[in-house]
Formats: sequence, C-alpha cells, structure tokens
Amino acid sequence: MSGYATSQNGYAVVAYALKEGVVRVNRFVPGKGWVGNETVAALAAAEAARPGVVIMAVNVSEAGHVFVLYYDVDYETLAGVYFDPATGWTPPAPLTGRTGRSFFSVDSATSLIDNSGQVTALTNLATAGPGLQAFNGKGSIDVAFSTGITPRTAPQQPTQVSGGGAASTCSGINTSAPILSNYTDRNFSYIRSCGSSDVQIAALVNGADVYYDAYRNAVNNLGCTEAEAYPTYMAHQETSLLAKRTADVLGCTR
Amino acid sequence: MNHIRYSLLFCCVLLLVSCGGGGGGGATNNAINQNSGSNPTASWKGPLALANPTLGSDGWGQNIKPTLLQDDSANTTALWYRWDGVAVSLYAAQLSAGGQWSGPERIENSDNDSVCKRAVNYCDRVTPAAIDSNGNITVAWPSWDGSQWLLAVNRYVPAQGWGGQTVLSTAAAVDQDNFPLTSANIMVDDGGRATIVWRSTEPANASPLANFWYAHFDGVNWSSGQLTTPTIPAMTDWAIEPVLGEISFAWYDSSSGFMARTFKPAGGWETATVLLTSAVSTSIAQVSLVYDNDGTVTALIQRNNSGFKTWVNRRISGGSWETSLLVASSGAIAYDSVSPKLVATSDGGIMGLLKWQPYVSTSLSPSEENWSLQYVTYTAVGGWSSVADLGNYFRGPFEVGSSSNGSVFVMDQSNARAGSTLPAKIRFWHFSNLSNAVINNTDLTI
Repeated sequence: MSGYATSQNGYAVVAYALKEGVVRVNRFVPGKGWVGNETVAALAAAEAARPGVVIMAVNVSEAGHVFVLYYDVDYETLAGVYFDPATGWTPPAPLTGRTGRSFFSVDSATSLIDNSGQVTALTNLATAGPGLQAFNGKGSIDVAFSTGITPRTAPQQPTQVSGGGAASTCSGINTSAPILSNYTDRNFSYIRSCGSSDVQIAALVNGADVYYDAYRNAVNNLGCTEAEAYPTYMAHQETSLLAKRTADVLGCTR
Repeated sequence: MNHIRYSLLFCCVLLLVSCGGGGGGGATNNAINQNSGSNPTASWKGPLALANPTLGSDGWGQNIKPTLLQDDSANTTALWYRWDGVAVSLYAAQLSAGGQWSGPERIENSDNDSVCKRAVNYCDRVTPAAIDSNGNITVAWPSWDGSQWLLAVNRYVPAQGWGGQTVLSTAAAVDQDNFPLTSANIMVDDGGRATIVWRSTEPANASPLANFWYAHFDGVNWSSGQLTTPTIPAMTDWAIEPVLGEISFAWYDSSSGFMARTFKPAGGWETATVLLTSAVSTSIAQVSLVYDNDGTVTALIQRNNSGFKTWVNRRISGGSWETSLLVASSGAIAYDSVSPKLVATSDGGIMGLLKWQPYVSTSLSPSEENWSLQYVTYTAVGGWSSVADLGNYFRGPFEVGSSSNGSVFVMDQSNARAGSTLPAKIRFWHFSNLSNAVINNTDLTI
C-alpha cells in the first residue's frame, strides 16, 4: 500500500509500506530534489512477525511538513509519523486511548495538513465500547492525537476455552463453520463472558473461524441468550473478515 | 483568473493503491521503533469525540466514512454519515483555525430522504464534497422521494453556516446500489459556483441506460437536468469548467469515431464534433479530457490503427475543436492499455500520460509484461511535443499531478510479476516546467 501527495507549490511525498512492516517515505523538496528512502516507522520486533501495514493517508504542506497516517492491521492500531523541516522526523506514535487491539478494524481514516503543518485526522474505529456492541467497523470519530500512549504488548497465543472448532492452519478447511471458514493463523484472540456466567464462549484459534460454533454452543449448551451471544459472534465475524483480508494478502488458503 | 478546485475526494491524495504487504516473519529495520518512549507529538490535541457511538434501536451505533475538507485559511470541515437505528443521516462539524470544533450538525432533514436508502449497508461510501479557497462547501447525496432517487445538495458558506437541503427534482436517477454517487464529479471555483456531473446506470431509473446528469450552482440558484443526448457508451470521459458550468464529453463511436460534445447550462447542448474519424476497427479506443484555468479543454486520444497511435486536440473557450494532431505512432499495436491521464498546469500547459503494453505474442506471460510509460506536453510557447518515453516496466497504476508553480510530478507503481526475477518499483519524475521538461527522476525498488 502506498500513498502519494503533492502541495500546490511543488512539494511531493510518497509513503509506502514494506512487507516487513516498515514504512518508508520519499520527499521531493523544490530546489533540492528527492530525499529518501527514509525509514520512518518500523514495527517492533514482536509485531513484525506478522506485519500488515496499510498507508491510510499522506499529507505534505506548502512548507514541507509531512504526515503519514498508517494502520497496523495485525495490531489493530493506527499510528502517525510527522516530519517538520526544522526538526526532522519524529518517531511514530499510536493514537492515544487506543491501545493495541482495542478495536477490531478501521472503517476509515483520513487526514489533512495546512500550510503551517497542522494536521487534522479523522479515524473511524470499529469498537463502540467494551463488549463489542458494534460489529461492522463503525464507532466514535476521534480527532488528532496526544501523548500518554499505552505501550502495546506482544501477541499472546489464544486459548480455545469452549465451543470452538479444532485448531487449524492456513491449509486447512474448517467445514464445521458454515459461514466463515479458515483464513490464517492470526494471533489475535477475543474472549467474552456470557451473562452472569464466567463461561468464555469463543476464542480465535490459529485463525480458524470458530465463532459460529461457539455462538451455537453458547446458545444451545451454555445458557446464553441470543441477545448475549449474537453481538459477540458478529464482532468475531468482523474480526475474521479482517483476518481474511490479511490472509488474502499473505496468500493463505481460505 | 478563477482558481479551480476539484473535489478532495479525487485529488487531495493523488494515489492510494494496493501493492501487497503482509508476509511472514522477517527482520525489520528498527531505526525508529514504534514503541519508542519519546514524546514526539506533544503538540497534538485530542482525541475528541465528534460523534459518540450512541446505539440505535437495533443495538448498533455507527458513524461512517468521515471526510475532511480545508480552505486556504485552515478552516476545516468534517463530514460523515451516521446511522441512528432508523435512518442514515449526514452530519458536519467545523474546526476553526483557532482550534475549536463546532458541535455536529445534521445537514439534511428528512429520514424519508435518508442518504443511504435507510439502510446502513448501502452507505459504504464517502460523500461527494468540494471546498473552494474561501471555504464554500458543496456536498451532494442521493435522496429518495418515495418513487425515485433524486440528487440533494447543501452548501456551507462561511459566516452563514449550512443552508437547508435542496432536492433537485429535475436531477433523478441516482443509482444507489450499483453506481454510488461517489462517482460524481464536483467542481467548484472561488466565485462560489459549483457544477456536479454524475452518471446513472440503474435500469429502473435510467432511460436510456447510462445517462449523464448535471447540476449547476451559479452563485445564486441551482439548475439541473438530464444530459439525455448523446447516449454515451462506456468508453468515455468528461471534464467540467466550473465558472460557467460547461461540461465537455468525449467518447468513441465505432461508426463515427472519436466524438466530443459540450453542454452549457445557459445554452444547452452544442453540436457534436468528430475529433477523429474512425476508419478502422480497433481493440483499443480511449480518450481523456481536461480543462485548464482559462477554459480551454484538451482531449488525448489513443487507439490501435496499424500500430498504437496517439492524437491530441484542443478547444479554446468560446472556440472550436482543432484538427486532431498525431503525436505518436508506434509500429506495434497495443496488447493492452489504460486510459490516458491529463493534467493542466497553472501556466496553461498540459501533460498527458500514456501507459500501454506493446503486443509481443499471444502467449505473453505476466513476467514478460513490458508496459511503456510515455508523456506528451503542450506549452503556450512550444505547442505540442512528440510523445517521449519515461521507461518500460510492469503493469501498475500511475498518476500525475501539478503544482501552482507549473511543475509536474509523475508517479508510476509497477507491481512485481509472478515468474519474474525483477522487483516491484515505484518510479517518480519531476518536471520543473513543461517548457524545459527537466526530469528529475527517482526509482525505488521495493
């Protein structure tokens, strides 16, 4: 994924992501020429094992400021990196209040920059709040960024707790999941309690879409109501669709 | 001279294309670590919720596809759809240059006219909107009147705010399902005028199929209508001159050749003009149009004709089309090509870009692809140049943009091909001006 932007007075910038999770930028400065290939963001080693960086927006001002907004798919985190001609690049930073995996997908994100280098960004995140009430990637709209970023942690292997299908890999086909089947061995998980019970009804096991099974199991065997189980199932479905998109890029067998 | 502003949807970010990504494990360059403990963005403000995810009656809370627009004074407007469980509505909020956001304001006023067919599933789109340098905003969306889709518009004027919605009863056949309004072009100028052109392909509402529609705001009133003739086939392009709302179309007709016709809101259709007579059957027939700031429209035509050939033509504002000028003639026919792209520079120059694949053999493999990227320029002093090469590489998207000082940037993204040992590349060229055509190019191997 790459992004390209120019300013009206001749600055240009292109940003692109490499498969290793590196974001690189080339800047064109009038009177100077191209400056690049600068690595402006690199995922932490723990994250880089499964990179999936998407350039969401690229901006360049008439004074040469640059802003690149990108989305770390696997960690479900939006981050921005900024260049000031006077001080150079600042390290990238995730959006505040959105720690890694605090939402499930990005509906959209966009940004623009004025001539003074001021950036305004809009992001639309999938999570409406704890409990995954929104499932299809639509949530609150945040503006800009701040400090106080919560460090992310390395991914933890999920645990199948109940109701799930068998673990599988990229090459397998989970025919027991009638709506969605295997995508890839994504390493994110989600566990939810059902009603007053502490029963956890679903977990993503190596990417197998076990949610439908878990949903049915929660309703049929664990005493959950449809209203309790369904939102979680749909949220998982969305998550799996995200995994599918990533899997498509990776070339894994669906 | 009026400055012409295209919709931000089309030109703010010139290219956003996929080139793969992902992959297995691998070493990374941690020159800058994302988990850095530094405080690089101390000046950032926020986050501020413009719209909380209040749940609808169905338990969903959704704000959809936000869009940003900014005027020359750094006043910023956000637009987004919102599903409240009953209908989808269109909201806006303003960020002043002083840094204060206004509260969300609903800018359309009927659930029956809900902007996304009263179902959020059809709302996966960005609202067409455009802003001029003075901060006037024009936004358009489809509106259902109970029997058909109409075009609805609203305008934001600084110091006045949003007006009421205007539903243009003469502007129908907005296809919600198959051809979203985001395909519409909105052109505004600094005089407060706006012109919208869109195309309908919805059989239920469009007769004949694939009609064009327009709406024009002259600074005081809207006019609108169906561009009923000619019936324009699939291979076509159009361009808008926003001051008078003049719209020029170009298309290929196998019996007549390459055609052009202009519509003026104040005068209706002009007579269609044959830009280039077709004497051959061709597998490729493509034409692109662009207006410059002086109202001159330029056409770039390409087709197979005993080889791949390229012509150009211009029509000065108020004048007539010239005789098409052949600017390139290859001995090889094109195996494939993409529509050419045109950009007008601020000093009246034109650059056209072509990307095509010469025919090699019928068993061409992806790794053998050899796409040619070429350009042609027009300057007031030198007239048209001949087509020149920028180099050959693989299939992939390309883009061209111009700046206010007359320089032009070209970006070409060539994706790696299966079976080839050659890597993917992003290539750039910078022309400081079209008269000198000084090229500063950079190749990135990715």
